[in-house]
Amino acid sequence: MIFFQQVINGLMLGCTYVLVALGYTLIFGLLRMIHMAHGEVLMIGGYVALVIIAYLHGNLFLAMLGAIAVTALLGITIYAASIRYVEKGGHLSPLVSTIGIAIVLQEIFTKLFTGEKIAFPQTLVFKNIQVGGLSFNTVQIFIIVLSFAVMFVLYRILKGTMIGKSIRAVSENTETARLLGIRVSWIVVITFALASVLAGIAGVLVGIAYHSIYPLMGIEIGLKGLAIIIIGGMGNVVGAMFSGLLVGLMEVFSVAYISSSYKDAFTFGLMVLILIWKPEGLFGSVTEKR
Amino acid sequence: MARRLFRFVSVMAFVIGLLTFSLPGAQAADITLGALIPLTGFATGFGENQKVGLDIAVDEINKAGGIKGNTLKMITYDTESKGEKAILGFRKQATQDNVLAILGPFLSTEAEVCFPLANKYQIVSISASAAKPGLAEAHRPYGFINATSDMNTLPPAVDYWVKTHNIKTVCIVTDIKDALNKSTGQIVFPKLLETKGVKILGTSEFVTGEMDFSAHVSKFKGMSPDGIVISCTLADAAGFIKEAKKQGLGKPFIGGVAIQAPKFLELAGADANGTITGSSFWVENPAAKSKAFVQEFMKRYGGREPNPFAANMHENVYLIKQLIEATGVTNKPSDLDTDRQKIQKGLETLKNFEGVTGTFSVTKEGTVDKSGYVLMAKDGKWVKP
Repeated sequence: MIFFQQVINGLMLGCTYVLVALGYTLIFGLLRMIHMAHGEVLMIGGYVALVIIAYLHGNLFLAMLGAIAVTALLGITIYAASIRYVEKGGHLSPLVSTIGIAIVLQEIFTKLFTGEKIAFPQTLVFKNIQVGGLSFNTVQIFIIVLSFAVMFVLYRILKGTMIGKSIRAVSENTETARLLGIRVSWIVVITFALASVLAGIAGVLVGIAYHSIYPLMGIEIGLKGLAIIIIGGMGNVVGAMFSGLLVGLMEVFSVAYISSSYKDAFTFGLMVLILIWKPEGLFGSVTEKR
Repeated sequence: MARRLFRFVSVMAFVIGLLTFSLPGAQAADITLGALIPLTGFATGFGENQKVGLDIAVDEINKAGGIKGNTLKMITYDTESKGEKAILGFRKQATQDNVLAILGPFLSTEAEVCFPLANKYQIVSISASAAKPGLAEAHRPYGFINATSDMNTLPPAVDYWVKTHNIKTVCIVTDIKDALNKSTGQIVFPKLLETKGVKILGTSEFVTGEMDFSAHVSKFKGMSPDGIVISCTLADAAGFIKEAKKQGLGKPFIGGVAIQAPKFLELAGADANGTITGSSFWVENPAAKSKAFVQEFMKRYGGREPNPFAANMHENVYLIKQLIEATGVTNKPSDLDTDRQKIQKGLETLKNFEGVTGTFSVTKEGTVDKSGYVLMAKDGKWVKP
């Protein structure tokens, strides 16, 4: 039964990772660049929800909407401020400029809310549910169900809608997409908004699941997200979903059954192994297709 | 060119010389003490808290007429939380500012490099926080520490916890990145629990700032211990306890000294209720001296409560004051060396001093014989169970 509990724990952690990694992978697919302030978008999503619930007395639904709106705008702003006009300088310059944005955002939120962890208000009705010896709680169910719903919606958007098809076309080949009449600059802006919304939702879920948030939380989760897209394949959406869940489960099982202090070593160790033996990632990378 | 450069350098040297020699302008009759506190760097928060404790003591003393009619004057330097800066400040206080005794430094790493200087210059250096075991003992006779390690403050708490909850088996979760919590979780608690015949079923380790405690909690749940020991920083402890309550692991908790800050209670909320810890300082202590100190502290520090190190610092000022009065310190510049020796002799044999943390004596190892209060979290306060 404890094994089952650990599977739930792993899925919960994995869901957060997936939402972050999806943002990275969407942006990488389009621009072939790593958005280093993506973790900070997640952090800000968490703080927006906290402000709405704790200071404006809104409910969780409003908090989620607020986080989505703010992070979508934030994503577009980051793109405009640190990527759009430095893009021509090669792959390194947007990498460095987004690191700069990340530091600025961390410092702003440290000034506003102090650098310490602050408690995230619990608004979900908390209940333990027993089903024949297995025990879940409502928070776990909420997080896992919501994350899978978001993943499903994203998958449908990418597969079934015009915007999704455009995003995939631009990922595959920017020049051809442009020749086919796709407005590439708009697609990039939309992708940034979409990726940032995923991170914003993840930020709220982290607050709900792990009870507290702090200005530097984006760094660790952001690095995990990067490791996950390398494991799953850079720019590969399905790869990010599977490897995010895989890493979540792996970390939880390493704490539970192997050695708790080496948790992160397993994740990054797997990343290194993948880079050595299967550099395109478990599910293949978009860069190959070019 | 060379001449102009020389002129510029000599003018600068003169200006700098003027500044350094005229700044600490202590009056001949003032009693000067030095303080070394980390006001920048990673220990800033602790340093600021301790500085408030220091200021309160100095203001109180001067308001009540000073020491033997002389104004008490503090010369405080920021150590930037670094050993090398602490050394610079220490040297200056001992050799240029000519203080009678030095309050500080704060960190064990700073004390390790300053205590040898205390013996070299024969001046008392008394830290209010460097709790590393054996540190003062290694630097007799001038290094002193008025702070207690978990080894001294936890035994009564462990005793109470084990008896009240009839604990036979425990699990221990430890932050292995933080030096203090690592030693508390891997050495102090196992040793104390062993003497009570308590069996350790399992341990779990993580590094500071862990986000997800669910796997640790589920693992412990599978072992079903009678109680759980948490040795980590306050934010992580709060995260662990909340996760445990969420998974229905309602076992009694005990934690090291790191969790006894008010911030822990704020983060953990009602889930903290019943958690036990041991501390040398009790904020809710009804004794008049403690109460007055806590009230004044909160007034000056935006409603925040003093930590044990601020209380110890407050005590240290009074301690030196008492010694200056009792040992016949003349405070004449010509008697500086003998005055410093008198303070050392007095401190070494100090018995039953009454401070804001309680009554204590100085031990022959250069530390204090404070024991711990047993504290229990209850509705956002630490109370005596």
